[in-house]
Amino acid sequence: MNIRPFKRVLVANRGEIAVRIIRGCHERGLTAVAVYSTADADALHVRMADQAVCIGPPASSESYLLGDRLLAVAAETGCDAVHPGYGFLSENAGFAKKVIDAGLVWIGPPPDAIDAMGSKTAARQKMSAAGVPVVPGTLEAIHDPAEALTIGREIGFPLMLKAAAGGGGKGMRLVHREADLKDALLGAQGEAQKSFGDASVYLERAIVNPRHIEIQVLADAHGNVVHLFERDCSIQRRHQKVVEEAPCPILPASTREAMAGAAVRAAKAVDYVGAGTCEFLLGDDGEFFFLEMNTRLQVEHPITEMISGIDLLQAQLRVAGGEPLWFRQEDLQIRGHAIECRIYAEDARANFRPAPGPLHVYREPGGPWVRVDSGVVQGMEIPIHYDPMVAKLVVWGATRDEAIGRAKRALQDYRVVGTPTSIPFFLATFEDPRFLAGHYTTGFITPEWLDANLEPPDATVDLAVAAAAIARLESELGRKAPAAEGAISSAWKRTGRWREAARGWR
Amino acid sequence: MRYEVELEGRKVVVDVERAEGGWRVRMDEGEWAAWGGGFVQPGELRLVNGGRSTTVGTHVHGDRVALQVDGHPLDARVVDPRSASAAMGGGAAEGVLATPMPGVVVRIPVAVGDRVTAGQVVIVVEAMKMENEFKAPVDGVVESIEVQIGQALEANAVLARIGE
Repeated sequence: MNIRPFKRVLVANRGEIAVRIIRGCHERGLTAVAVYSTADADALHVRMADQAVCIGPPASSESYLLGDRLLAVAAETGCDAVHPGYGFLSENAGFAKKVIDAGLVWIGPPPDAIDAMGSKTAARQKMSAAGVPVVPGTLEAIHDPAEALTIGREIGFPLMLKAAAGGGGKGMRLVHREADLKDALLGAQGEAQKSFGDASVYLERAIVNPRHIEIQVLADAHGNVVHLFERDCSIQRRHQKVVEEAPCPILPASTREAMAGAAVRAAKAVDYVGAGTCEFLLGDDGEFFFLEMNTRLQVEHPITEMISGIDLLQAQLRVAGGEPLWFRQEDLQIRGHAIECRIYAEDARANFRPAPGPLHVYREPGGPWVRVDSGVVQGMEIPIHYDPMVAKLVVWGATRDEAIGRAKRALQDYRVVGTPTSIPFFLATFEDPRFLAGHYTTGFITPEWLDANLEPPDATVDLAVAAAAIARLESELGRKAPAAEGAISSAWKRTGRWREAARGWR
Repeated sequence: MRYEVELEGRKVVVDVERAEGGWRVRMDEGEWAAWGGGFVQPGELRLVNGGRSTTVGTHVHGDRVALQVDGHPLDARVVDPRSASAAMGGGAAEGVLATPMPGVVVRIPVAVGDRVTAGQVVIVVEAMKMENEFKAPVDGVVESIEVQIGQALEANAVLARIGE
């Protein structure tokens, strides 16, 4: 690891996180170099950087994922550090090693820590050895029903049978009773053989209706490790988080302490440096289990920043530059409550089908304690090649109720026309009694709930009919919204005119 | 001005005129109602009616009006009944199903000539690791199916056309 001060950072990412990193660099007096694919030539992160280099065509595999090309750009542009953001190469230990071997500072954990947490077997073993509870189970294949029964009784029902070579929900069986185990095993093995060519099936205890709770950790290169409390990320669709809140509304202080303690032990066990997150499943009986550790900054980090007062990106930059943490665990406190909504360009009524498109009208909400992390501006087209994130809307309130009220108001003020977004989904969620009571699990979003809650009410459609006619009339009468036609060129024309006018004033 | 507004399966004849403080509007030749408001900025329209005031997003392009109302993204077709496009019996654009992203056609549960209702699944495309259902936007008849099962599609490929 090269841990020493640096001045110029290669931002190896795009979209809102690249913007976040560039802002963070500028706040420390560092310069930032952006990279972009041809699809992102007009992107916000490109315009904000001190220098920007095109690295290839739209496909990530031909641009943002090409580690060697990124290193070449870092060398050409005089960078002495690389920040990988999240996704892409952020958890690629090989890339981290190459950055370090090239003499640059890697703004992330040591490659060995990335490796240690990247392998399921290795991570479970390390965590068990460190006294961190993992989902009870085995990673060896089960060969026959008798063995399954013996092990199953040890682990505890309900059981999840999982294909060792598997994924995508195939070769998985949930077994509630001993009597069902034999048939379930045969079924799972058969499916696993058909889907993956490998009938190996292993056992885990099934955590029923879990909550997904994660703990933020931060470590410096001098052995100090702290936690910054938890985030509840249970509201998910297609196993992707869409709403996150901090702190978890129903977590007893003792459980928080136990989980946070486990997370800190996990970080220490792999000699972690930097910002990381330990993910846990919390069962409805209050038991929790380590799921995995993410060795990078996470999408939802802003809610932790809001309740702790610690800027995690600044912390990453300072730690990578060799500074020790400037606070101790005792200095940290949970203050108030924060909620994040991930605004995606998708059609919530069509099962959240991605619907990237033009932002003919785009205005982010403002107001106190309303934060929007985005990489878009009005007039842009959301590219189809990457995940369809528009922005993260993050609000803070002195209490959870205040935060919810603020989130609703901000969502109502969030103006987007041209691309459908998940905004109606969030508005419905913040009316739901289960959410308001803080009692929800990863099973919150169901097709039935979506059908029942996402249709626009009659009053909304009535208003829309009138609005459509009025808008059309106004467009014809010439009190025309410039955004009505040629949005992309118009936005720049207007900016150009203002610059001309400003020159004229001198 | 008189317009025929189609939105969310409704068809409404709307008369709208500028008036003091905003506009007056009537639906299907009912009572005139006063609507106040104005553009906050291009694309953002404040509307006041019946004691409720709210801001909606609008984007007009020809006879299509894209809206955001109470957070909901809605698309309207607003036709001047005197215009040529109305005379042609409706925009082809209305009944055209197209995919915004590349994918592969996996199912076509209807055939040319079938009567379909608004919301009925016409084509299923696999993209971004999920099955995406494309549904008839209006009641009508499947005029054409432009793709076949197994076909790899580019973004904005036309899938099918639904006619009156």
